[in-house]
Amino acid sequence: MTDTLLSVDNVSIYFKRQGGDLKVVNSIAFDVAKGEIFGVVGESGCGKSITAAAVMGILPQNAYYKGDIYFKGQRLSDLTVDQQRGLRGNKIAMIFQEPMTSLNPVLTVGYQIAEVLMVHKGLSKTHAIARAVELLGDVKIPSPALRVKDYPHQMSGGMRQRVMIAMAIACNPALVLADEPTTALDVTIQAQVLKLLRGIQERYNMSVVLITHDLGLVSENAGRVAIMYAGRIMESADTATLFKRPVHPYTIGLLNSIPKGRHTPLVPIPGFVPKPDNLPEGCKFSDRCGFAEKRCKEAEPMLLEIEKGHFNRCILTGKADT
Amino acid sequence: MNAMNLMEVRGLKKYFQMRSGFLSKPHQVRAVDGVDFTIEQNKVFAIVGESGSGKSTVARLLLRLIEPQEGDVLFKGTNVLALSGDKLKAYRRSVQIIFQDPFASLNPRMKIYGALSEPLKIHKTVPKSQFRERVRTMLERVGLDSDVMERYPHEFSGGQRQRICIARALMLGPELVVADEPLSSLDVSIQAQILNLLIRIKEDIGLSFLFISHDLSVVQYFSDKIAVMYLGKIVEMGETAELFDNPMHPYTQMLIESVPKIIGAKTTPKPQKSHQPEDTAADTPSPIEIPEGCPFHPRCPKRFSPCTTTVPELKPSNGRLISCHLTAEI
Repeated sequence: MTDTLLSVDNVSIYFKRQGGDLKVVNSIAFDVAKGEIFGVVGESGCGKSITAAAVMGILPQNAYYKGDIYFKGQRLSDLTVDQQRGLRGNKIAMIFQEPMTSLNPVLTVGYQIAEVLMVHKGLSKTHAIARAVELLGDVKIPSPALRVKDYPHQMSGGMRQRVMIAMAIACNPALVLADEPTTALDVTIQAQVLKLLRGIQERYNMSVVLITHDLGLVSENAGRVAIMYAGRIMESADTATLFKRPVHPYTIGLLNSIPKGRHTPLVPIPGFVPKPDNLPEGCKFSDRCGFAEKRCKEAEPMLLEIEKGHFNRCILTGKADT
Repeated sequence: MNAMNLMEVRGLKKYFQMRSGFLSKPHQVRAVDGVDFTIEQNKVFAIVGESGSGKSTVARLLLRLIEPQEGDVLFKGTNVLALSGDKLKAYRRSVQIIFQDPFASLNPRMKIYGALSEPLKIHKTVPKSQFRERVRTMLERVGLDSDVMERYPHEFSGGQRQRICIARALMLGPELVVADEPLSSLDVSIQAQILNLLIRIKEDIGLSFLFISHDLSVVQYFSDKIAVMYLGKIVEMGETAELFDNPMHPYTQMLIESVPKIIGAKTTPKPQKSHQPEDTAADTPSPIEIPEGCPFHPRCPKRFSPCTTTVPELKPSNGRLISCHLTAEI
């Protein structure tokens, strides 16, 4: 792809541990094009948030990654600490799940937005605050000139999340990593926040990595999607293909787990989400998969392209014609 | 009174006193503001609503974990709010609760056997010699092996813990189970397992449920009747299938439209988003400052003159109850 903005190439993420480091993400690879919304779906512990942290360069102290992450063709690990800091919050921004805990309770929201601009754009405080008011208006906060002086606790959850978006877009980043941006919000507020994010994304032609557990959210918003399980990408395709013709048993299982009205029986995936230190042999989904055969437990399948742009990690449903 | 009715709730009100600061005047939060509904035998009655709508307060009122300001709660014709001593204890055997967070609702220092046998110990329904057998039967019913008895909660995943919580709620043979967001802390693949388990239990032992949730697709699948709550009041109540086929209150419509749909999947056609809440107020008002008139009017895309001044009554219309000036006019 010519206009690739972010390229995650064979990245594995490890946690340092006595008696052998724990691998939580196993050689994942994906590209995000300019102006695209790329969805990453998975259940808790599948490695989706830690992948975003690796891209952002904010892995916890006891974690590290192997493999390469390229942003605009530049390998992030080649950059100095200062250069990385220059990207973070500036060219790559992040929206976290919990607006409650990711805003500083003792600073006004205006100052928190302005700080981003003072650090990265060198604006004076007065100019930065003035720009913060504009940004609050951009994210549709009523009477932004007054609200800029509010502390986070004076705002509702939906407004706080809009403040988070304002902070993320303050420097007009090329890439926004949105990690469960609406999970803490009520469904009607979720719809508004996403509409807002979509509008901003289209206006500035930003790329967004939308990390979520909600298949519906990805279906409505993302252009392409990767389904993660146990630190691996199990299936990826453009969104329409993935939801119309899912092939991986895990993807199908997830779709069957969602209630679709009274008359469609629910077919849950048996068992439970495995822990990274206790994964089955062979295919990591084989212990919960209804189709698993002996060979599934012998070797882990590769992620193969079964038709153009549609990747699948399963030896049983690997062919495009099944 | 209808013999089929297990529980009847009439005019239930709960106001909380709140102070925003040390010196400020206390103000009232109208968490539940005059709610009436009926739970029928062996049916699932669902309350849906967003945070702050008062749905969990209703659950806690029915269990008498908190006391209401006003209203009646009748369980099989007996006024629950007048019970005390042994009679209250007996009521609590018949009505049990499953909480949202299975991580917070199991004592981490108690083995599973201890947690499940405690209700038997307190209520002395069976002799001690039968405890183990009872616990084993209940664990099997929720799909767990009896060897989990000697283990501690931290050894289990969220889904398994929720199964344990369900088993605990069933230990005393309740007639009504109040399930307060029992699925919302679980992964998608596990939610479906627990939901199927609840359905099986309901059919096996003829339980009735008060099911509280914000997840409309789950409610649509599981419940027989729904009440939609908004800022302490029921705004629409009716049979589940009819309500989803034809939501009539603008808030119900907004709720159903806001759920992200999987486009392309065979069974969920993409609905037309008829009215976007564009020019309307974005956020749910705080229950401290409930707007004048219809509480939903600042967010309502269909509001007209009476909405800002007069509170609409919950009135029958099209085989259900709706509180909206629009339907009242027709």
